[in-house]
Amino acid sequence: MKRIFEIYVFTLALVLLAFAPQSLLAQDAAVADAPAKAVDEKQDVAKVKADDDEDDEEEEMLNGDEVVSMLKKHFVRVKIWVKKDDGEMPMVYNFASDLGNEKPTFIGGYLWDEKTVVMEDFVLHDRFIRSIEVEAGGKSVPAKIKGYLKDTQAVLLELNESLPGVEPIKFCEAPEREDIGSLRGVKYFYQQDGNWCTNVSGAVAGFSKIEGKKSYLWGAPGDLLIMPDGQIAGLSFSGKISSEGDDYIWEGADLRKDGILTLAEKVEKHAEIKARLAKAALLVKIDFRAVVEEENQNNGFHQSWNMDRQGINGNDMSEIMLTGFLIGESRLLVPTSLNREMIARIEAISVSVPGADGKAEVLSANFSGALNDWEAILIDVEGRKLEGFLDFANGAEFAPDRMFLKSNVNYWLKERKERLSYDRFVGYFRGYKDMPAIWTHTNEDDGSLAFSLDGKLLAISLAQRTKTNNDYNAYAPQPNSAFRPVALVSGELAKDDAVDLTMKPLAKEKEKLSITLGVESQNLDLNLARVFNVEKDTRGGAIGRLVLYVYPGSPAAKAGLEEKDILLRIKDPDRTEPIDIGSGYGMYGRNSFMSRFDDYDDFGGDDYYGPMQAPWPSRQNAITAILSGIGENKKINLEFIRNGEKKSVSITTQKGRPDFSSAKKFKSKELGFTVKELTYEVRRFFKREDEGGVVVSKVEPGSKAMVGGMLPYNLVTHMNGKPVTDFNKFKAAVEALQPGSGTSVEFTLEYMGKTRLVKIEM
Amino acid sequence: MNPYTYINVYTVAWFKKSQLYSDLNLLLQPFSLAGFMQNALSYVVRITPFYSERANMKHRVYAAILCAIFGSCASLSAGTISADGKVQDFREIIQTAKKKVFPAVVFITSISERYEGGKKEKSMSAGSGVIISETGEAVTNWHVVDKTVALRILLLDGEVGEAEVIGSDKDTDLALIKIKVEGREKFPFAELGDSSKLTEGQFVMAMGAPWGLSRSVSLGILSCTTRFLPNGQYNLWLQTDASINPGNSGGPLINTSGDVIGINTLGTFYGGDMAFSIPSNVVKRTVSALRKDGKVERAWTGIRVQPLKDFERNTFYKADTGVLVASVDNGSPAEMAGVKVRDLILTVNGAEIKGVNREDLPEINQFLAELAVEKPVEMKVKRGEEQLTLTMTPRKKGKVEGDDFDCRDWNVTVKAINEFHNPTLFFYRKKGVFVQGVKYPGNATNSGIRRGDIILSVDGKDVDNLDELEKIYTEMVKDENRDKKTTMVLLRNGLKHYLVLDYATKFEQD
Repeated sequence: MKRIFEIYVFTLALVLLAFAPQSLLAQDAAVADAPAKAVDEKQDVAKVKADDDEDDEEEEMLNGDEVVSMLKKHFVRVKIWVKKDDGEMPMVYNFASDLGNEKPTFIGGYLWDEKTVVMEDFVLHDRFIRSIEVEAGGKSVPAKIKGYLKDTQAVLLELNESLPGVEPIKFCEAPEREDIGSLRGVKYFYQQDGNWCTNVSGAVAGFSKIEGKKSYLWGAPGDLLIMPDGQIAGLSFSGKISSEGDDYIWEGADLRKDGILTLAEKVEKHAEIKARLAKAALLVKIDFRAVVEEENQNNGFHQSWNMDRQGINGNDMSEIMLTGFLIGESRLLVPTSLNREMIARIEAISVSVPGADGKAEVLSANFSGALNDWEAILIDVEGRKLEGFLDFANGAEFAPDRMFLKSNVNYWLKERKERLSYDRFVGYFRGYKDMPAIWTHTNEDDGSLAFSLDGKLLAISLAQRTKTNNDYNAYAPQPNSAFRPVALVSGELAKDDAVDLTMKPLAKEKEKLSITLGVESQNLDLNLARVFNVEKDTRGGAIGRLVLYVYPGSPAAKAGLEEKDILLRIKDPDRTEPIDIGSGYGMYGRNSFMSRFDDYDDFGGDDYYGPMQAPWPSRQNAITAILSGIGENKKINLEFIRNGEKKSVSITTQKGRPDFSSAKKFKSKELGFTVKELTYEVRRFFKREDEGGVVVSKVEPGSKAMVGGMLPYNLVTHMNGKPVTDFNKFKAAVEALQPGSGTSVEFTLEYMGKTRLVKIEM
Repeated sequence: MNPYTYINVYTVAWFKKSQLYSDLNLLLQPFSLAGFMQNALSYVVRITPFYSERANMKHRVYAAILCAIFGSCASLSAGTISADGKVQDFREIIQTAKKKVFPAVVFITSISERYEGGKKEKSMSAGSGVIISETGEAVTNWHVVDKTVALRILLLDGEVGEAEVIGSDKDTDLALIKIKVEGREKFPFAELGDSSKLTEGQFVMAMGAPWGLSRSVSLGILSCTTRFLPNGQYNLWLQTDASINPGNSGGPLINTSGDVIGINTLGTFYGGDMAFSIPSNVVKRTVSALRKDGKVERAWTGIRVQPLKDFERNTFYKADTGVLVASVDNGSPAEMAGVKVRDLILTVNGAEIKGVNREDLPEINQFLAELAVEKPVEMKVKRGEEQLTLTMTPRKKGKVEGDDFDCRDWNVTVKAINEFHNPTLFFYRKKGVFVQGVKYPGNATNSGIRRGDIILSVDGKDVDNLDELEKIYTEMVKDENRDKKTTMVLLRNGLKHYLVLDYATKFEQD
């Protein structure tokens, strides 16, 4: 695929340049003529047969056929058989599809010396390679990787035996700078239709000058660079020739020994990295508190805020195992996509460090913060200083085509798995918040670390934090995870607002406090949108929620929201785009099937005993999901429509009041009932805005309360004739009752306006 | 006592002391000894194999002799000894009683209109009744003739006729119908007996048409004469083990004198032979009211009472007279009189109120219901240590169930909210209309309307009662030119809900 792409680009460039004014290219007078010349000649696509006789005044240039016949003797055919390694597929180049088709991958190579072949680096770790064969002159010999070129995308193979009919490449003298334009590129490659092909093309199609950086000439990705007379001037595997400085062409003639990394050296370096990571990439185990079951919640399954995130969010996991990277003496950076809700439930964090005797030592750690912009958390190990941390402050820089080593350590399968590989740097790209990310040759996001060949840290793979969700689509794309340069990461960690202070482990009672506006709302659909004349603004009812009720004293009430307002979008101060309030979540927010309360009358009230679903809507809906992602104490702008007019209001987000599932509760073991403080939605449901009382949430079977006829959702309005005003006073009064004392306690229970007296002997 | 009875009684006494008796009793646990006596020979055949394992020949011989004696005596002397000393053949008693009442039993089939499925649908159900007057007045249950459009009756002699409802009362589940048979002026009828004289253990017979099998009789005893059930606000029940099944509703429960002492009303699916009948005294007073007014007028005070001693709820208050006020409805006469929860009502209109047990409550409710409407009464209540005198003016109880309406094009049936029938909905909206049923598949279901939703407004017009909704609906469907969509505001679990009902689709493909 890469080949075809390159061919396409080249062709396009050619065609464009054929019609482009020459002045565009004339930065350097020396090359002004040559490109024009090269373009003049090359009109056809891909396989060019240049049989022009126009350039008599130029040096004699061989035509394509002649070039091929001259250079044929250097070409060899490399056949690579790949395999899966530990369940992983080789994902670069054509390897995966060739593996699936049970055939080897063919790549063209060039004989370097009698038993060495040089070819483009396919950037595949040797663990995926089953066997390599090199064929020429009718003979096929086994081969293996000898080494990698550090700064050029090329790899050397070592042959078991020599091959007949082929000769090693010989270089001529390097051309003068002004003659660079007359170079041509030659590439020997395998076409997918089964034929081997040689491309001869203009080596220099254009020139690029990057501001503040080196300029370069670019052209066809020809592996061999040849002079007009067919002599080999140099090698270029990535299509770029530097145009400044002395080493503009890599000839290889004066091959610097340290330009090659042998396979053995690579293995050694990987081992070094592995040893370092044994101390710097540690197992972090996070234990979560069990999910607080929403009592009597109708749906029966736990809804998470971020419904569209795959992976660990939304699961009722009790523990996860992650990789944490030691970035300081006791600080670890743990890339993970835990969201606010999961973090609130963190109970304990432990880190396994390698002990002196080879056994792992488990240390406990504290949660230090979740990064604001990145999916990662920081933890601090207690009471110990650890060695061997990764130094983000003193990392290394990338260079084009430069090889670097990758290492991925993960604990997905609960045991340490290290995957080693290598890659080549292609360039930077501006991604998240216009910050640089790394574009590599394989472009594989391994979720790992990148090291330079001399062991310095280059980059770490991090994903940007998804703040809010309004598309409750389980298949929404994952946020970008990419290699971030070390300098960027260390800068991010040093920022004052690096950490989101509102994301932290919470005590059980506080866990369920979500950030709410204080409204009950419902979805819109197309018909309702038309009725309210908001079809266009809500995109036919796809976004927007209709306010049904505004709780007194809530942020919404203070902001002046009213019933029938249609809430459209929320503007988060930290984001440039406002977030639409989607409708999709709504169906989980209301009772989706009949509540038992409808049948209450049929049962005659008294006779029904058993768990009942809560008749009020869940507080989880599209609005609270967005607000929960934004966080506390943020000034948001809420856009809404009232009577056809667009309006907006500013609201400071604050933690919601407790609701039924997070209300203060008290269980009397003696009497066998559990009561909860009246929370806002319970008050609304029972029409008890200001009056006191507590609501029964559970009655133990066979207990005194059950015998006395208490049922869930009864309100306890009076105790011993006196009104229940305060939850705490009620709790104290019930606790003060002495069992077996012969006294009795009387409760007045109310349900939907009907009361009953219950007298219990202690 | 005739000689045969004499032998029977004494041999029974002797027999009971023997080892044989106790062994047999153990073996024959499920069978009553009376049964044993009735079918002596067959039992001999049956038990001998069991017995032979443990007994010796002697016992076996004794068993055979005894069985023979008992058998013959039993066949000659079976029966109860009546209270006046006269011994009657029990079988004769049964026959006499049956003959007296059987001809008065009618099998009723009713075509009624049901609104539950979101559509007004006719369905056929069956029940029984008993003619109580020569002119053809018959008593049956309210639920047999509820919402009926056609009643057909079948008499014992095979005559077929029609009936119409004179009056019915939901609270006591009784109805009075008038039978019309062509060419018939006079009908056999049964007498209503005095249910206050009943005791447990008396033999009773239930007549009717269980599972539609008309002209059936079953025999049992009175299991309880003062049974309290939650759905009997104004009366206690007679409990019997006579076999009563669906279809027996409305049929008579008669004693051995041939008097109708109850109307069979409730059965149980899991209780075996356990069923409940309305005592005849209740029937008497209800029928006289139905005859006069077509319905039973009751007074409503808004008080719900609770007994002083409630074993079920383990709640016991120290007092031997009076009744506890459990609940006072909002805006009710009791609330306006100042009655509060936990008050102990001692007298009403001078009459002493005694509600010590649950079984006392229906009488108290009945008493309160019989108070004259719009006439103030004096109540003496005890609040804590204080004694108070309050004046209360009861009002008419009125309807106990709201009317129905079928919005056919919308595929939904609606009903008026009634304080007594829908207390939970009434809590949210005192006057209004709610969705009784939605048809599936149907326009209402597709638009998201659910059973139990209170309709607040349709098309922007408020809906306060059923008439308003009827009017809105009829006008809407008549209008051919309008868009077949309407905006509705509902109240669901106390929270408003907006939706657009699209009724363009025709789901009734006739």
